[in-house]
Formats: sequence, structure tokens, C-alpha cells
Amino acid sequence: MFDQLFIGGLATGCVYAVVGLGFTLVYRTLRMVNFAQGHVFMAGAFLGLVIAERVHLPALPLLFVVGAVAFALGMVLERLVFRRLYHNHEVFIVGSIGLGIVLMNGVRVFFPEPVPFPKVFGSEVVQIGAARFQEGYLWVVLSTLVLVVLLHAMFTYTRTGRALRAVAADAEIAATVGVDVKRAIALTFGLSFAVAAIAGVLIGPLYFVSFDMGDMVGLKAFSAAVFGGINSIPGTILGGLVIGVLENLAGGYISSAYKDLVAFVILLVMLIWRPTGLLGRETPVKV
Amino acid sequence: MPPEKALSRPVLSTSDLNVHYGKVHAVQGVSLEVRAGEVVALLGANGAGKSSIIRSLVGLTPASGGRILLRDRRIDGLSSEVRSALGMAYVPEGRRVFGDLTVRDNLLMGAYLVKDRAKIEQQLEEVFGLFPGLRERHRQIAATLSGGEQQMLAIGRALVREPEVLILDEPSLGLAPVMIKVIYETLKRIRERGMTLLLAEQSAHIALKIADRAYVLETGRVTYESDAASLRSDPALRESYLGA
Repeated sequence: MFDQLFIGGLATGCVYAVVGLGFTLVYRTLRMVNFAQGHVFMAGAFLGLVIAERVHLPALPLLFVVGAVAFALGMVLERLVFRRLYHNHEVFIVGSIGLGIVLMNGVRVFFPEPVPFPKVFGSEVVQIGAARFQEGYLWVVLSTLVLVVLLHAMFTYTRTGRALRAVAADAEIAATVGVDVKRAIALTFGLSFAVAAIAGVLIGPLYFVSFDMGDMVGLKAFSAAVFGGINSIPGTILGGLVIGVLENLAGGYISSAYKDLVAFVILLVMLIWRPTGLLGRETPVKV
Repeated sequence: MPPEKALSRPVLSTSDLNVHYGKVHAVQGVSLEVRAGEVVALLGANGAGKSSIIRSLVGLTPASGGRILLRDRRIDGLSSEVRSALGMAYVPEGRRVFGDLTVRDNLLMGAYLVKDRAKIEQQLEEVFGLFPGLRERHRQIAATLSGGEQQMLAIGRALVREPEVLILDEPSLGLAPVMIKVIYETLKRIRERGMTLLLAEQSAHIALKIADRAYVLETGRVTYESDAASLRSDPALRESYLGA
């Protein structure tokens, strides 16, 4: 039973980690929290659903197309919405919550009821040790691994990645060495949207997709980011995995009624014990 | 000032520059010139307006009036990144290296606008030649360097793309005397290569050692302007304008 719960939790934790990465990318750059992130995850799942049903794309191209569309949408929304909210953190938070509600209700118009997602990742049952699980769980874990490696390589070895890290470290000075800071911020939103939307497609075939699926995932991904350290990419990944595994174990061994409680207890404990998170560092407030 | 520098055209100049922070008039009608190959010092006490002038030159604080020219091009309406592309490099007060990046990545950010990889590597070698300590620590995270090493890195980051003019804001601030000596020795070497420098310093006696000319600022205005040799050699002048 442990193996089963652990692997299920690992897959859920990967989703929290990937959605949480979106929180982290934006926070590192702007020191602000984009609470629309969970709804972008939901919108990504529906975008994947529509493309999978209409165009019948195989899994990998589907993930790529959804990621690319979400990336473009993130850049456009940064230009049209988020850029007007940077001047004040409170305004940004309320604005991002508002944008999330708009996304959710926009999807609700077309999909008022939960709908099944095509089995794009196969429907085989895989056995590892004593654990038996759907092939989709493997896709979630492997795709997360690939995403993390790609993001790491981009941030570490490319000129654009270095520029994004420089903007996150000190946007003003990054501008003085020639970085177009507005474009860098737009790229950051594009990336955060892309990873969340890809996570939506990955989780879609494992459950039904519904317009409100982003609420809880968004909050848990935020908890994961705070737990690991919201300004730390490795911290957020670790946070997602820990929360995913612990809540699945709690659901299995104690009661599924308490499953959702785990993430928020962890969040509360971390906020009291170590507000910077496991791997996070205190960052100076930008003025 | 050497005659050839006196004859050369200004690389950077301001005329009637004004900077406001809300109702505070921090820079009041400042006109200055920096000629090719010259080292010009902006001197004055804390709050005299040195950093405000520097920040408005590099585009971080908007000028509320006046003009800034780089060569003959008016740049006061341009963004920092465009001014950087036009040949300005900035070493900020407090160093402000990219703390999460390695030494090498910081230097590569200095060369962000240079596309030629061979050229970038050649320029990195130049910087490592000036600051051998940075070569040894090129994989180290910048935030873990000492203050002096961070200042070397901040200067190296600004030099790595061979700017037309290097603008330094309080390069000696917060450094140990031995490190100030190292930094100024390096600035002397940079100057000998013909680089144009504009230098804001609270410690006038340090800046005057390498400056060709100086502007003395008080409450946002230029109160005295002369060649550095006069200020260096005349204690009465130093006493009157710099209190030292």
C-alpha cells in the first residue's frame, strides 16, 4: 500500500511542483505573487482537452502546443493586465485573483460540468514493485523531470536565462547592462503560464477536468512554493514533492477527508517556523 | 589637463540638468562635460547630488529638465538599456553585483549586448588580466565575495564590453583602505588605456589622485569647477570647497 500511495503522491507532487514553479518564477522577478497561477493550470487542461479532441495530437506534440500557446498567452496578459498592476503588491494580488476568476468563469461558460480527458498518455497499467498505476502517472513524473532539466539548462547556460536571473537579482542594474527588463518580465510570465498549462494537460487524463480544478491545486502549489522557499526553484520542487507524497499518505493511512488539510498544516507550520521556506533566502524588498 | 584632452570633443555632457524627487530639487541646473580620455570627478558631501546626477546620466532617475548628450546624441529621453547600447557603462554605489550569479555569469551579463563569442572571451581575459583574483573565483557565487572583490567584479562587469565612457558612483564607499588602493590603482591603469571616466566620490583626496578635472557640488549645484591639479595643490581651495 505504501508504494502505491507514494507513487500516486509523487505524481500529484510533481503537479504541485510544476504549478508552484510558476509562482516562484514570477516572485523571483517581481517579488509578487500571481494568484491566477492555479487557474492557468485549469485553463491549460481545457486547452489540452480541446486540442486533443479536435486535432487528435499525440502526447508530446500536445504538451508542446499547449505550452507554446500558454507561453504566448502569458506574454500577452503580462502586457495587457499584469504590467498595469506592478506598482503596488496589494493591487497586483487582487488583480491576479480577479484574472483567475475571469479565466475560471470563461471556461465555465463552455464547460459547466466536469468532463473526461482523452487518454492521450495511454491507459496501460504499469507495475513497479507492489505498486500498480496508470501509465499517465509515469508521464507526469518523467515530464516534470524533463521540464525541470530544460528550465535549469535554460537558466544556467543561455544568454536569455542569465538575463532573467539577472533581472530577478537586480532589475535596475540589469537594465544598465542592456537587458530589456520589460521583455524579460513578459518572458517570465510566459514561462510561468507554460509550465502551469503543461501541468494541467498532464493531470487531465488522470481525473475529470472541471472549471474549478485550479482552486485547490493553485493553493497547494502556492503552499509548496512557500514550504520550499518561494524564491528557490529547487525549494519549490522539493516542496511540491513533499506535500504531494505526505497528503497522499495521510489520505491513505488516516482518512481521505484529511488529505487537503496536510498542505495547509505544512504551510502554517512553515510560516511560523521558517517563513523563508526550506531552501529559500531572505530577499531585500524592492523599492 | 593634457592639451589633446582639452581639445577633444565631449563624450558626455549635460546642460542645465535638473532632477526632482517629488518636491525635493536634488540637482539644480548642472552643466558638465567629460572629454574623450579624461577622468572627471564629481566631488561633494553626502546629499550634494552626485548620485542623482549619475543615476540620471545612466537613465535610472529621470531628469526633470535639461539635456544629456552622449557624443552629439541627446539621450535624456532614452531608457537605460539603450544608453548602455550606445556605450555607457555604470558601476553603481554599493557594487550591486548579481548576487545569485557566478563571477563569470556576472561578467557575461556585462557583455550582454556583445554577440561575438570570441570577442566576449577576449574581453573576459582582459578583465581577468586587470583583476586576477576574479579568474580564480570565476565559478564562485558573487554574493559570497568580499566587498572589495565585489567592487572588482562590478568594475569588471562594466568594462567587459569596452564602453565609451565608464561612470562610477562612490567606488571607494565601504571598502578597507588597502582595497581602495587596489581599486584606484586599477582605475589608473584603465585611464592609461585611454578610457573616459566619470567618477562620483565623497573622498575627494582619493578621487583627485587620478582625476584630470573636478566639479564640486553643494546642495545640487556646481559650486566650483577646475582642473584637479589646482585642487590637489591648493590647500585653501580644498579647505573652501571640500573641507579638507
